[in-house]
Amino acid sequence: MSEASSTPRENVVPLEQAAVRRCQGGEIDGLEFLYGIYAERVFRTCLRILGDRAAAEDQTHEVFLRLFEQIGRFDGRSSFSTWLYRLAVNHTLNRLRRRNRRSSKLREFVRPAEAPARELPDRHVLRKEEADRVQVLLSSLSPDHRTILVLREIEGLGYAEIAEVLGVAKGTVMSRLHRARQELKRRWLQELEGIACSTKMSKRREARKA
Amino acid sequence: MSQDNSHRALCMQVERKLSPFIDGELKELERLGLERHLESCAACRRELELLTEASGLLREEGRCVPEPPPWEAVRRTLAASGKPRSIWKKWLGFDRAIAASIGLLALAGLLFAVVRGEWPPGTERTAGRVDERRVQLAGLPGLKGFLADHRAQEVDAADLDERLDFSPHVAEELPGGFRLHTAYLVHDRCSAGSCLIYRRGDELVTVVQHAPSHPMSWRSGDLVDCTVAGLACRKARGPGIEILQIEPEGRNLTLVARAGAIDSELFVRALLRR
Repeated sequence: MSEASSTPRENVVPLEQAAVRRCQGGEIDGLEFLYGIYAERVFRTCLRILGDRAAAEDQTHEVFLRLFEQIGRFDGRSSFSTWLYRLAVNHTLNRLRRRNRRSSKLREFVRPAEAPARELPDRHVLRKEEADRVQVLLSSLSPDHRTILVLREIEGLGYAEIAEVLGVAKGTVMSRLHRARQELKRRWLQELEGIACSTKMSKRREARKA
Repeated sequence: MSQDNSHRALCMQVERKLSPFIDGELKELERLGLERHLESCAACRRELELLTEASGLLREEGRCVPEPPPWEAVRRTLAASGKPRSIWKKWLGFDRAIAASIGLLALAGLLFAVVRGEWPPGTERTAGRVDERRVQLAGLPGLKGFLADHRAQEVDAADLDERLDFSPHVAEELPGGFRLHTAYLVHDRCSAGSCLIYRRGDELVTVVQHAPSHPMSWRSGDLVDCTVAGLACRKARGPGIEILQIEPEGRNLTLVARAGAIDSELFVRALLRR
């Protein structure tokens, strides 16, 4: 792990290729090297798509186990990172779909409990961390929109690379990203309106008390 | 009025280009045209500002790097699974040309054995019954439709685990002497699963896993007795459904089965060939 993090990028590429070959030969130390380079990116991607730290940790392990199983299929036509992102995104979306299906099934059978009287959220508690707020915002988007925004905004991938990861045309990336950003903006504005509204209400209550 | 309309139409066009503009993915001419429009249109400038700000939120979030889980857990899992493939992978990695030649030779040998009716061992397949499976499926319209709808692909049962996200329970033989006949990988737009066909003489039992549209579900450990052609239970990694008893009843078969642990779905269909 430390081997990768302390090596400059230009030296990492040949080392990475050697690690891929070792991994293809079934050597675990090759996988360990790749884990050192990519675990952070894979984990971040899984976390942002799934929105749950424990699930993302589990998913990161799963992705690297899959990598070890399927590395024989990597033929070097795309860059290794693109191939790995593709593996990670596909498996993470599958997991998300399974989870969504399960929760929708549960909703069919389990009658929701009576909702408690709704209190105005203490926004200092709810929004104590910007990161949490953004994750909530991201989780409110559809899986497709979430994924494309994670790849573009958080992972910083270009349109061509995103197209390769998602297996779609570059034009599709452009239009999907446009719709995803529109949706993100809409949710964000809604959230801002909600904050403004609750602030106004609490001020009114305070004024009444006074 | 018409000037207003044309301006609005232009704004709509511009709006679609704001996203690639933010990412620097516009061609030079498009970018210049858009910049010119932005100079004169406050609404589009505002839209750009909002989109940039919303995207900026995510970029900031990207900088907060969470700690990835430790490597040790992956290593432990790999050590526990004791992958035998690493040995032959190492060998295959030695020379791809040799590996390809051996693969071709093995394939040729296999084809020869299939043509002579000597493979797979232990089945009733003979040279004169090559299209037997097609004939049987033609007699099962429901199953045929299901396979067509789910883009079924015949696979080696041993490969199913490799190809799916969960480990399907692939028993070589079911109670009552039903032997595994064909394994299919099935998938539609949002799910994948397997379809296993078991055979005893003229009778077929089809076990379809991961059919998300079916409304029923079993609880883990439930005993289920069914005579209809569709049932569903849920399944986890490892053995999913355990079929305890199979009895013919009219055109259907009665299954007594036990559901496994709960995770993904399992759909059991019992059909009698006629």
